[in-house]
Amino acid sequence: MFSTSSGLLERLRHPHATRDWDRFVDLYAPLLFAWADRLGVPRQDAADLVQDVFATLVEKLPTFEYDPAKSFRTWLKAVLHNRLRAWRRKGAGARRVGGDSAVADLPAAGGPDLDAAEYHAHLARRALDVMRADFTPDTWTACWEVVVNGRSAAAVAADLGLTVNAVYLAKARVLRRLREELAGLLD
Amino acid sequence: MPVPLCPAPAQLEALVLGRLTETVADDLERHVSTCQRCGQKLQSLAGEDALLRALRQPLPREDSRRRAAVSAVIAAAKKLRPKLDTATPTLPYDPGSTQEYDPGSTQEFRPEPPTTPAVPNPFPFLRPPQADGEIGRLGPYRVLAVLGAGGMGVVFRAEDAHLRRLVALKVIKAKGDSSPRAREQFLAEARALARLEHDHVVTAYHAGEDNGVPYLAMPLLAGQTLQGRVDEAAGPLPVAEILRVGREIATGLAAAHAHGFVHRDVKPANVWLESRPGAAAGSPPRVKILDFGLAVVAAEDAPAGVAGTPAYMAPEQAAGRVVDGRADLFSLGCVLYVLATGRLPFTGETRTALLISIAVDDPPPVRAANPGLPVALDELIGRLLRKEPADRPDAAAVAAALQGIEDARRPKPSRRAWLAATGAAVLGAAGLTAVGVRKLRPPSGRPADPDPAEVTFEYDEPDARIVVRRDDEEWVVNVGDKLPASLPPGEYALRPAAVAGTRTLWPATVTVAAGEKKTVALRLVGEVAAHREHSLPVGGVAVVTRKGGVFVLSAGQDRTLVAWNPALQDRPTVVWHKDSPLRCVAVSTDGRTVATACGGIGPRAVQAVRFWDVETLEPLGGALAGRSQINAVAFSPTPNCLVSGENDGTLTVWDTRRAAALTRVEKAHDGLGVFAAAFLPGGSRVLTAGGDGTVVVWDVADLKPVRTLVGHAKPVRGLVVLPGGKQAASVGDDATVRVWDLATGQARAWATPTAVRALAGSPDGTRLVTGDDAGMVRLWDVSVGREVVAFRGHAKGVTAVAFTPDGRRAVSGGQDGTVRLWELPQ
Repeated sequence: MFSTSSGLLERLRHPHATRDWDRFVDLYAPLLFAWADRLGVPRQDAADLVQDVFATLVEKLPTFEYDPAKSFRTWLKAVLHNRLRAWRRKGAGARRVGGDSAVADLPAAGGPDLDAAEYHAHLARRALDVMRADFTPDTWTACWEVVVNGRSAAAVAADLGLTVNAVYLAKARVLRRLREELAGLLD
Repeated sequence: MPVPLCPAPAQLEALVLGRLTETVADDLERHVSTCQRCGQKLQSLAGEDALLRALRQPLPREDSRRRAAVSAVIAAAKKLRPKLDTATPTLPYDPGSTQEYDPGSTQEFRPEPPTTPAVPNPFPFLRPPQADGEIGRLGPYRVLAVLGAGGMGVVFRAEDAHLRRLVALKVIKAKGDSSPRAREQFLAEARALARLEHDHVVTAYHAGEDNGVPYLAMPLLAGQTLQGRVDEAAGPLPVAEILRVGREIATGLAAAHAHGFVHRDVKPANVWLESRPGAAAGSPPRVKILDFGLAVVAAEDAPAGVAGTPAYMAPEQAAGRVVDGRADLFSLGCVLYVLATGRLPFTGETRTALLISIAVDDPPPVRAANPGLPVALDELIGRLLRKEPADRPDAAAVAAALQGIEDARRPKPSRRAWLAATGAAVLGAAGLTAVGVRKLRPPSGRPADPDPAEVTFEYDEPDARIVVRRDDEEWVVNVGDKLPASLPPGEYALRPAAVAGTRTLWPATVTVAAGEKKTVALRLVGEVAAHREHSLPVGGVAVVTRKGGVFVLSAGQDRTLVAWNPALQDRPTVVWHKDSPLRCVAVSTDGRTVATACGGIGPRAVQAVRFWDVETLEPLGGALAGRSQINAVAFSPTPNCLVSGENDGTLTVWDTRRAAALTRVEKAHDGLGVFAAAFLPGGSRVLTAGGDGTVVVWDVADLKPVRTLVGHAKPVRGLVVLPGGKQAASVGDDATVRVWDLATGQARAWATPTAVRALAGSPDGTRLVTGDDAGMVRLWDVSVGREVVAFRGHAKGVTAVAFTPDGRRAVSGGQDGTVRLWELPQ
């Protein structure tokens, strides 16, 4: 039967999407840490918070419905903030118990949120890392050098022993896979 | 096929940015890989978009400790993967998992043998004993025995050394820091509470502090907690008991709220059912609310941050906001829910999942689990469980409402006769048994009514037996023999004696008055059949006539169109197309063509309407290309005309013969999505429903809006035009069903418990069927604007519904991938 490598978000809705869950975790863990940082969560507590967010996501993701009025990013933000509120409440309890958890020292409100551009930057860059094994080394390196390091196609072509055209096509292939994989997540 | 000519610069740029689909890109790549001209052109193209900018943006460096933390979380989070397949969080109701103080473990407070101090003193805060039989001393109290221990602290049986009065002495495990100021606050609050005198609130005799610990001395009560009663019942409590206990809790709360006290932890474990030895035999226990206000000062019995199950907590409380008495009302709603169904309204495998459930889920109405409950109770619980505190009734109103339901259930003087006759002889089973009636359970002490009603049940099934239940009494009635059954007056819940799948009796309840003679025609209603052919949510359902039979067509996000004849044993026919997930299905006016619409997100998504021959399910030509996910299609009554509505608000009128767009508007409904469409008879007007919460009437010729129907507060998901074209009905996320008068634009609106996703109208226009997020299929009577019956079957939300052509049955499709057929009451 027809099979297509549809985007990660779509695949997560299918039963037995366990490998896709692994990929999702790989993609989002650093981003959520950065986000927690931004919201003023002390570093020693960020791991618990992020884990808590994943525990919520594993239940909610398969039923996430794409809605034109609401992007995945804003949905994720709502989940994170929700967890953070619960976290702060617990933190307040911890402080009264006299524990020395740094959670107790959380500011009442965190700093500004990760904005859309930062979210995109974290997600796209991480995806490029995580998906490295999906490509031949030359293809991936060509894209990385041209796109991330901003080198000219000609220079990269000379390094890798490829034609300039091949470097462009390598970039094209990697970017296309990236777009497919992140469909619905980058909105 | 290789492209012989060089592609245009725009196409090259799209290629190199990875924006083309694989098929198009493949052909271009073959050309570009060897074309020097293209290579040069590529170097001169700037080629920049959001993804490239995102990839170029520098990120802060992570140090090694952060990298280690990220790796650790990744490893731990991946272990969550088995949960992905069991993502619907449900836990059987497990009252044993609550951790709070529960003196219900000791049913009566009998003196216990003195504790010998062989083991190290487990209560270091007590002063040493001064006489035999004491464990220790605290303040003026001789501490005699432990009654219970739990989250709030320890409860002792103690004697007031001065007054020689036995008390329950609660020693509060104060929250950690126990600053003198916090304890002072606790004592002040406890003393204020002690001045609150009410029949249904347990208040302290005395609040004090000794040896560094705060304590409360309270009356020593016999009985058990409501939690104990719930555990013992292991299911719904009798209606009369639910109403009485609920009313007494509400009365107690009303008094406390009036004095500015908030309980903050209303749950069955904090409600005492006091049995009064001196009271007349058979008189019910009296409700006493325990631990008023203690939630604020007492520590939770768990490591910091892992508090006990907050299953009864209001959403605003779960979110950590400041709460007032209205949070107690939500908790009361949860308590009533448990009493009425034996189940918690909100569950979750983890505390996190539970808190999310409280914040976002609307539990199924109690009558879905227990159809014998009064409708008014169901509605009252629904209002108590509203997320928005302002939407909940206050405690006094709840007490009054429950009283009203109690009164309505026994409007006849016979009730007074029962009450007056408390001491009268109890009739045995024989006294109650009439022809064909056999009592299942012995009478629970209530005397029989002297003037029973005679009820004859008519039922198609010969030799069938049904169970009638009033409060905690049940009788089996043989209904096949059509002989009258003799029943004491009251309201009865009816159910089949034998298991009938998920089908229930209609009517589900019958009320009889003293001496009344009546005949009740019974039918089995509910789920008749179901299939599970779809592996992903169902997008649309329709009923068609093909191959000489009635078939249910369903279109799913698994890209299949399934045709099913529930009357046949054959497996449904499944047609698959590689397009994107199917979102809806529509049948042409002549019944010979079915249209499916699909779409999704991402560069690979195919946004299209396809046509299929109803008889053969062969694809027909003339697919229509949309611009974004197509959510709605409707065939015009005039031939070869169809309208489609999309996620981005694109609305298109098509000539289906030429597969050409005749008229199109963009950003209809503010670009927030078109979710449903329906033509008026004659075909010159079409209605659409959208994400902006409106229903718009369009002129089909030029797609100019003729009228906008405003009323829904959230996106509108379902829409039907009622026969005759004078009225339309709509449903939406705002949990209302609306019936619009199209001439005036006025609507009647009826509230339902959760967001409604799907709507269908009966062929005669008198009834509606809705499908909602709670997984319920509900039947509505349009003329009286009332829910007739609600069916449960789908494990998740219902996404599509339709009537059969005779209007006697309905079909539904859900997020659980099942398609179900329902027998409706007539």
